[in-house]
Amino acid sequence: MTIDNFLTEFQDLLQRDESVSPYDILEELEEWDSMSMMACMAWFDVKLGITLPYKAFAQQNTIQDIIDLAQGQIA
Amino acid sequence: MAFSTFSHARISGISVVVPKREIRLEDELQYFGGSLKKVERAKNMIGLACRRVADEGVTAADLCQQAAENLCNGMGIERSSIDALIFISQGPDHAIPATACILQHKLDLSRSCAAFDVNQGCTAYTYGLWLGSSLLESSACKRILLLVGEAGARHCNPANRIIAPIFGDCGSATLLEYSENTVQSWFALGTDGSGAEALMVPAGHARFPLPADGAEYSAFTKPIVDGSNNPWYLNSTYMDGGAIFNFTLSVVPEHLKSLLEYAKITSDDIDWLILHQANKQIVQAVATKSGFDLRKAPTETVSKYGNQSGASLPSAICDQLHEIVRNQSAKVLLSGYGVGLSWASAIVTLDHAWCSGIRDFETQKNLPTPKELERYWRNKFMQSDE
Repeated sequence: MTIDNFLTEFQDLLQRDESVSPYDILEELEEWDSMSMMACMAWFDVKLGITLPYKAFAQQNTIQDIIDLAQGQIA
Repeated sequence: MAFSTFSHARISGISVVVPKREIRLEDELQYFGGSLKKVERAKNMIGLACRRVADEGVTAADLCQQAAENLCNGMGIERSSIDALIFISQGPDHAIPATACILQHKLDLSRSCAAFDVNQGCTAYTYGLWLGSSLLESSACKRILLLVGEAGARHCNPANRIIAPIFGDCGSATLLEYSENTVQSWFALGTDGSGAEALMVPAGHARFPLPADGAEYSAFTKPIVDGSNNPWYLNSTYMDGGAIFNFTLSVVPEHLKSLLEYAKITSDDIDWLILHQANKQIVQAVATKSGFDLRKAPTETVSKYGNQSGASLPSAICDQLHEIVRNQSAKVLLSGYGVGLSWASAIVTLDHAWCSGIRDFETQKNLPTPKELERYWRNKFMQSDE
């Protein structure tokens, strides 16, 4: 999956109207809450086959950090 | 994992009641920072829209009793023919005796009826079916009344925005009967108590008593505020939602696959996948990861009634499948998972069973207030002295 495709998916997961970039700081996104972290966790599990604990998402700083969790599947 | 097969246990009827009082997400804007946009987002993401909450004084036993009355009257069941009553809830009426004993009397069941409680949450219904089927298959019973319900929503700490807007109340009654004809069902159950603290009421029972008037406990009755300014009480439900979600995604899909393998069938053979209606996000993630078409896994019940814990499975059947259950035969995979941590699933055939749909609870007019109950017991204690 390309980074651009992921950013569109990520925006959709967050149910956010505005677009996002890899440099966005998660904490500053109003929609980055427990619901979107779980949505992200489920997306990684189902779409990429990568099972990560909730904490792995909660501890990240930027969207690029989330991309890095995909172990090269988003590039 | 505990696997079981049964060949003569039939689900003959299911009845569900919910309280009339409906609370919409919009009514609780305080949990969403006063933002209707956030409410809409929550509706879209986790599917919660409304929940039903019991009035003060109404218990899980009251809801189940009315569901059982509807079932017995609707099916024309001779009450003396019921051999066992199983009541499963996390909210019994009293510490002692078992609520099932009180319900045996209230439902006018026979004195030769066995009656007992089981404490289970999200897996209550599948545990009840498994236990009931075991009793039928062993010839211990011919007819069993399974009651599963919760009425704890109003007791959730109203200031806690993680717990308070989720739960709804519900009572269910299911009639299980021995069938001379072959009715196959398959069960798988599992437990991981190492995760017990992920969903727990930490205090208020034997491990950590919290008597209201015990001076040595007074410090423990104050709220503990977390980093997100969310207050928690030791004697109220604590939930680590991330840990529960983590557990569900890592355990349940594999568990469902192993049950299908055990039963030697595939997801294509299953007409309906009824998953514990925790929230839409969890149901869809589990269904997708388990290889099921999402059209087979309804999520609408949690939207209309909230997370009804163990009663969410019979509620989803009555809400989503009642016409099918009444008029056709459907192979259904039922799965409960959560508090414990516990998981339990069943593949059953619902074939022309009696099904009430979901009915509103008719609140009894003579429900005693706490003051009346205190007076009642005061008089009883005084008479004991004489």
